[in-house]
Amino acid sequence: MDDAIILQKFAESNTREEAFGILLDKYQQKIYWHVRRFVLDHDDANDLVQDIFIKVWKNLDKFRADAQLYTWIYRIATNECITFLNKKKQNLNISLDDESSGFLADTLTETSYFNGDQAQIRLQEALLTLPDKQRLVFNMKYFDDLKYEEISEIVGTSVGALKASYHLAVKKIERFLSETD
Amino acid sequence: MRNLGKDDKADRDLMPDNHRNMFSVPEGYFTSLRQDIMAQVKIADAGKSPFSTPENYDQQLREDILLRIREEEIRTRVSEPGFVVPQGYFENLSSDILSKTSQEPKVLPIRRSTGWLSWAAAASVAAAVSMFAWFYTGPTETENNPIQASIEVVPTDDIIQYLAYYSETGDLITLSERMPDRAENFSESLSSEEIEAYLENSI
Repeated sequence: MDDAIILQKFAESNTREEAFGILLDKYQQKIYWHVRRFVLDHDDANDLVQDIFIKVWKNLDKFRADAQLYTWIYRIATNECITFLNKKKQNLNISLDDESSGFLADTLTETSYFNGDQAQIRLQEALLTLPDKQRLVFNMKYFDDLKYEEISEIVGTSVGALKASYHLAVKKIERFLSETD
Repeated sequence: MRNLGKDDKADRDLMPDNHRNMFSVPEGYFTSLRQDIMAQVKIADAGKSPFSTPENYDQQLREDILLRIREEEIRTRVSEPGFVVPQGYFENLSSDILSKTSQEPKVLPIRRSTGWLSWAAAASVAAAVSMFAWFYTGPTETENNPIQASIEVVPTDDIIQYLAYYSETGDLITLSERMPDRAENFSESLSSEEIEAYLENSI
């Protein structure tokens, strides 16, 4: 269903829940995987996804169609992910100056919902060497195949800066994988 | 050879006539020449591409192609990230989220309800304040205290109405904290559900 129709139905009190259900069906998996690839742990991702969609529920009537609906939802999800990781760093007494989240590497081996082989573990370790925001950009471009213009709407960074960031991220990851082969 | 400089007139007779062209052209040549040139110009223009490219495109293209090659290298090494989810997770996720949206606290109007519960609570507080004034100050103190004397003459119903309309929950909490212990007796006349409902509606 078209986003404009979802928004119309959401605006009507008698079709609000129905519209939200349709929105969930349309976006929950995309948002889940966006979050999961960032926080790695399924239980953390599950909590975050639910919090994100509660925020969407509360604020959807304020959404102005000056951006795409899904980039708006992605933006909420991205902000929640960064806030979550910053809180985790604080709890673990990790300085927020450390922009990467290498501490999550332990999650890969601890979580029961990761059945990756060595190559997949190495890819995740490579990703965790990137600063969080750069890792987010990489995930959105590489895994979600979003356009730079869409990522720019989500993270509020210029297209040029995003291209440079992504190019650098890919180089770093390729080098990491080659060095650890 | 004759020295052409000696006899000007004779020289002029022998020298080429600058106004007479030795060469000839086909009839109407210059007219068709113009048309031929214009046609050639149009053909040349038509061959030009109407498309332009951004500045430094060639270099950008090279970098983008190298990037795609690097991405492919990564995909060749690692085709899937390796994450899995519990069975049936996505089937239940929607219902889990929807159930949480219906549990969200209701938005209450700014104008609070002045239902019987507000009145009952206000009446309890007014009664407690009156009792405190009666037992702890006595009539002589009232006579000496103009504020208390003013309160004494205010009808109880007016006090109750004032408290019901203007009291914040914090005010009532503060008042209840300062009430003597015997004020606890008033809570016994209200059930815990009624007190809970009052507090919920007062916040």
